Amino acid sequence: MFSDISTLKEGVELPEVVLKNVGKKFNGITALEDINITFEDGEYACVLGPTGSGKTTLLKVIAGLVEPDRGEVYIDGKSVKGIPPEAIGAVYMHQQYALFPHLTVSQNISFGLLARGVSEEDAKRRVLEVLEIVKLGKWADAYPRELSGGMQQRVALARCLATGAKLLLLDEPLGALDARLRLEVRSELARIAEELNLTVIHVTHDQSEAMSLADKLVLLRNGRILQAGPPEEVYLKPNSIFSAYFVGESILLEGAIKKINGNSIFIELRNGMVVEALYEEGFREGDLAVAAVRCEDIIVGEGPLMGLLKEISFLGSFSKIVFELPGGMKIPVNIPLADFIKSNFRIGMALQLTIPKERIRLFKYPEIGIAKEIEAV
Amino acid sequence: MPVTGLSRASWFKKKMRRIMIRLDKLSENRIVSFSIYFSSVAFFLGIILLPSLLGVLSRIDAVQEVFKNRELLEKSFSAIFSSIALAALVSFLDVAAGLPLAWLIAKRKYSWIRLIDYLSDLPMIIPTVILGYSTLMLWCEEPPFLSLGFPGISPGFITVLLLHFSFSYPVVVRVLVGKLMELDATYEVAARVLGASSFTAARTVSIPMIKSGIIASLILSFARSLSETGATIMVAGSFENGPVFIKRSIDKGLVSPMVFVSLMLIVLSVLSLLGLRILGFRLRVPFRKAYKIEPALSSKKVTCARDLLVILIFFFFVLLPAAYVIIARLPLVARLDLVKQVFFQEGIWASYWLSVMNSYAIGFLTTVVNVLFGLPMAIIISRRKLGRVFSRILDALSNVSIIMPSVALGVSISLFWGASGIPDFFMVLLAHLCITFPYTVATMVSAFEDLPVELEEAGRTLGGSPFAVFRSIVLPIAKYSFLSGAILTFTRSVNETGATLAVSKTFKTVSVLLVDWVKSPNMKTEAGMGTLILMIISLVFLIVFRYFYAKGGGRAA
Repeated sequence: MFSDISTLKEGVELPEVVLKNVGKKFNGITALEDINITFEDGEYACVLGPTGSGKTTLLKVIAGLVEPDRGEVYIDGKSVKGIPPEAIGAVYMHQQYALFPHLTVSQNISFGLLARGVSEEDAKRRVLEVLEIVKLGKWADAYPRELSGGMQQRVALARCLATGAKLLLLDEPLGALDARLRLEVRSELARIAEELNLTVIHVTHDQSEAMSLADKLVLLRNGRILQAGPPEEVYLKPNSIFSAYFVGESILLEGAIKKINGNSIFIELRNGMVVEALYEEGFREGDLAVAAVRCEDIIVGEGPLMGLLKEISFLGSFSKIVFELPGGMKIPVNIPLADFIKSNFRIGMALQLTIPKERIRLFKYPEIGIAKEIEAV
Repeated sequence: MPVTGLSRASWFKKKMRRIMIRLDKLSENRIVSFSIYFSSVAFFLGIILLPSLLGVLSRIDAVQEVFKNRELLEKSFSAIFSSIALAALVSFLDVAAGLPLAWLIAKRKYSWIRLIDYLSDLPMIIPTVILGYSTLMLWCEEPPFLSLGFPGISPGFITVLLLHFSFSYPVVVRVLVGKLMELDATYEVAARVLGASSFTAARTVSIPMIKSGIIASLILSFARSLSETGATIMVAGSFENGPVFIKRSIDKGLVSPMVFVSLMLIVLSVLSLLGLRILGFRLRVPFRKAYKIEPALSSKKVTCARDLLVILIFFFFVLLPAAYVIIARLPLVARLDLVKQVFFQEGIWASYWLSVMNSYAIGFLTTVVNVLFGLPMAIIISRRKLGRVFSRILDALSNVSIIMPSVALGVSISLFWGASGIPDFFMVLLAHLCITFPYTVATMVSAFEDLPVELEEAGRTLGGSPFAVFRSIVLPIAKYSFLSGAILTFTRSVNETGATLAVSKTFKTVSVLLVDWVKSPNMKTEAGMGTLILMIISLVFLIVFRYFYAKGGGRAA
């Protein structure tokens, strides 16, 4: 979709962004609480979280658009406290792009350059370069209202890139695009960020977007960072029930620890069935626990659990089939397309299920109850 | 080397760019921006709010004198009651007759309704003294139906009611049209497909959704009626409401009744409007039940009859009084001797043109000063620059002088600044600043609130300083709204009579001069010609205002 970007690689200075004890409240409601995180040089970080978790506030604090009540933000080792947004050197791309409606595409793109004191001639040259990158050369004189959503997104990105800023703050940048365009722009974003050596902090609520783009995934909930790390780590080793539930698709099985035997912990579920998990520190016999397991990790066709097939949903590359265990507990399982075609599943079939013990993440039962624990807002 | 026009232009462009860059840099300094906001708030408190309230409060001792004189007390209370009763009646009639017309305009039911839309602004934009004079001629002195046996009515309560209706009605229609245009038609369609007649759908769905607009209309109309002085004096006859009573007290040099009635009018207007705001929003009307008569009221015949009645009311009680001065006084243009006197400024015409100059000079200065100090104030309010609570308080306080009767406000300003020996020109300027400041700020706040904050944020993170973002993003987008607000401020100042009368006996604006001429029995021709000229100037302003109003997407206070 985008063409050569080598011309914008000049003057590479990668900023590191550090947030220390950052907190912010709006009208007494906590938007951010004790945020401590480092975004490394040239890192592509995705901040994931439900609506109202503080994602946009986090970006605005870094951009200098919102002043934190507590804590400090450091960019390149320097505190940005009291520095106006235009002097911070980060560009913030709004969810709705915020293209200036009274300016043409090229005027929108040159705004940041002229504001930073670039001469008109240089600005013109730079605008042409970025327009080529985003393949909108023919639309230089068009107004934002004359462009499609995808084109507007590209202009907004071009406007940010043209400034030469090495820290890009993207607030749900793909939210307004259709599914196909989102996929295309997603890969282009990753490529541009890598080739231009940008440090990118990208806010999204779309898990697949975050997983595919991020070097680092930051999970935010109620203004707090729940987990941060490489996407595969967050996915495979969630550190909380909410992480397990929100990132990917997990089943949460409630029960009591019946027995601890060497390398295994046996949990008796509410319906009397027993599942086996790998031994973890901190659990004792009799404790209430929650076993989280990914829907794609359950093996159908063998094992100690017996389920009745109740629902089949064909979803393209995989299918979701729902089993009912004795006692009414429902277990959804994701089956890859090839296995689904081979298996000849029918509603009403009774099948055996296995939950591999190494795929179970065990958590202590939360005091506030499961429902509250996984509540998004 | 000779300097060509082109190189001069390019030199100028470069110079301007350098100045802009310097201002851009300056605006990055927090002390500079804080100083601008601080001076705006200081101007508001020191020049607008405190003189409006403290002047009259400083003479609270005068109240005792009124209480000692039973006759004076009764007359004062009678004037106060007349003012409140008249304002309440006018605002009720305005909304009752204005809502159907606003509905017609907003729904664009007929293709020619756009013409009514344009004409409905006429009485709003022309000075109320013209309306007063026109009303006097239409209903009392030269009624057009004289040949049909209609002898005209004597000046008094009815003529004041007709006058107040005609100048406040367009304001109500404008506010309601704005609200109805914003209303999503989907709700009404949903009500209709669920089985409600068009009348029921409008009554139970659309009208409750524009309740804030109806309350705002009632408040504006109430405040306008309570404030109007100059034109009311023209048509009042023996009827005496608060402003007329105050004017007559000023003429007689009676300070204590003037202070007492001013104070009472300020307190009662604030209380009434506060009550209307609080109770109005709590009121749950109209009732949700659908009445059997409503399908019949929705029939084509009934709606056509209603539309016709509304248009007739608009024509006879709003448009005709506004335009009658042209119909009745246009023949004066054919009197060449008079035209010569007017344009060669012979005799009293020199003072006429001087008063016109005074009006426009005051109007211009008022607009410039209010825009300069109102703009930072609008930014503070709309962008909550000094915190949410303070911004809200400032917003509420900035509207106080809208609801205060202008003559009472003038009395307060006169008492506050009177002893300082300020020349009359500046006293009038101070009064006009107080009266128009809320209009300037409200228009700008509205323009800022319509402008997505994301655009400013984007401009800032792309590297633009606060001033660069303002001049390259905010101003180009909101310029027409700002301009229509400035024109509104200007016309409001030019139209103002009550406060001008209260602060100076010698300084004549054109409105004040025309009141004197109309009241003088020997100056009928001069009053007619003077009014006609002012009307023509006002029509030019109407056209300019409509142009900017339309360009700004219909945003004006």
